[in-house]
Amino acid sequence: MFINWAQKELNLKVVYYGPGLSGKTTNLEYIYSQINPACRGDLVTLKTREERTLYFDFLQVEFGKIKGLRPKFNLYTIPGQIYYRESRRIILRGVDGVVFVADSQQDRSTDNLDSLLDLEQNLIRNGHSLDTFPWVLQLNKEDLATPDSIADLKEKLNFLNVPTLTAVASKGKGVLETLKMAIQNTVANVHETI
Amino acid sequence: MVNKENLPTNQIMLSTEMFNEISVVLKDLEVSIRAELAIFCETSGIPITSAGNQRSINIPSLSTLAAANFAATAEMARLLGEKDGFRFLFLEGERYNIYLCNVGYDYLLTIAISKSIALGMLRIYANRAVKQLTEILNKARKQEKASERIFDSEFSDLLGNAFDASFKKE
Repeated sequence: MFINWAQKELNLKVVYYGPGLSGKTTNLEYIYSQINPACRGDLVTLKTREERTLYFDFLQVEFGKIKGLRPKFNLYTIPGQIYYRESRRIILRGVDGVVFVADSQQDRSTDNLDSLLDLEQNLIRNGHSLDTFPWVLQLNKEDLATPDSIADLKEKLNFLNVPTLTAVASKGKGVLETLKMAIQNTVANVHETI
Repeated sequence: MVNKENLPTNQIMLSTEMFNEISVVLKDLEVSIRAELAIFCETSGIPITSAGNQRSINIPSLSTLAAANFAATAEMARLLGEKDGFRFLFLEGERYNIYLCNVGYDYLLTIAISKSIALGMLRIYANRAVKQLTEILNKARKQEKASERIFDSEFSDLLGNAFDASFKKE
């Protein structure tokens, strides 16, 4: 978190985490397409030739002036592939809140768990932990899941009872609700720790 | 085991006075070496202030990319066993060069400058600015944190309303 009292700016960093191809970039692309252009910056993406996230995606959104401060949220995605571990660790530096984007398809269960474990390890390296850190869980690709796989995912990933939303990011379903939940969760945590 | 002393301070509050002092250092740097742009940002790329040609360049995007670039070199240093990381990063272009260096653990200085300015001169002035910025930041750490209590439930409600108003109605 960074507050610049001279410019009355509050900057918070929210990172979209999760396994490769779970829909993190799609979340940001939908947010970018739906938000009032006056409230957003450019969507910066660093992709490979195969359209996979190479390093990160970045989007800054802001919501006017609230109690004299201009809150700005800096949204990042991480590259989900296993071999970009160091990149993920770097992107998590200074993070204030996390959206964990899980892939609800049954055959991605292990990938989701591995990614959540990776998140926990990286949070610890940054002096945090999943128990106390503000994060929300998005069960994406709900349309490709069975009711059983959703229930199974909730049981496996939501052992800390964090706010959980289902989504179909490619159609925009649940994307804005997730962002709103993440923002409110993050601000509530700032309120507690400041 | 996490060494807490080396962790970035996750919550940074900059007073108006500190901000003005930092702005003066950046302006001096810009004028001294005729920099196209000088950006002072925290390590994840959030720009704090900048000096120079700010109209035609998207400062938050440039700043974020610069921070990511510098963070990548820090990891390269770690893999090579360079204990304190690389001191600076220099990118050479056709018209402009870019110089990146860290200011303590939590901040970065990015300078975009004409190719006609020698690297030696750039380094001298950049080091001078880093020293001044470090002194200002050390002073800021000694001061008490701002006591304003603004993050109450009213703030959350207002933020929620502003959020809803910022998106297209479906």
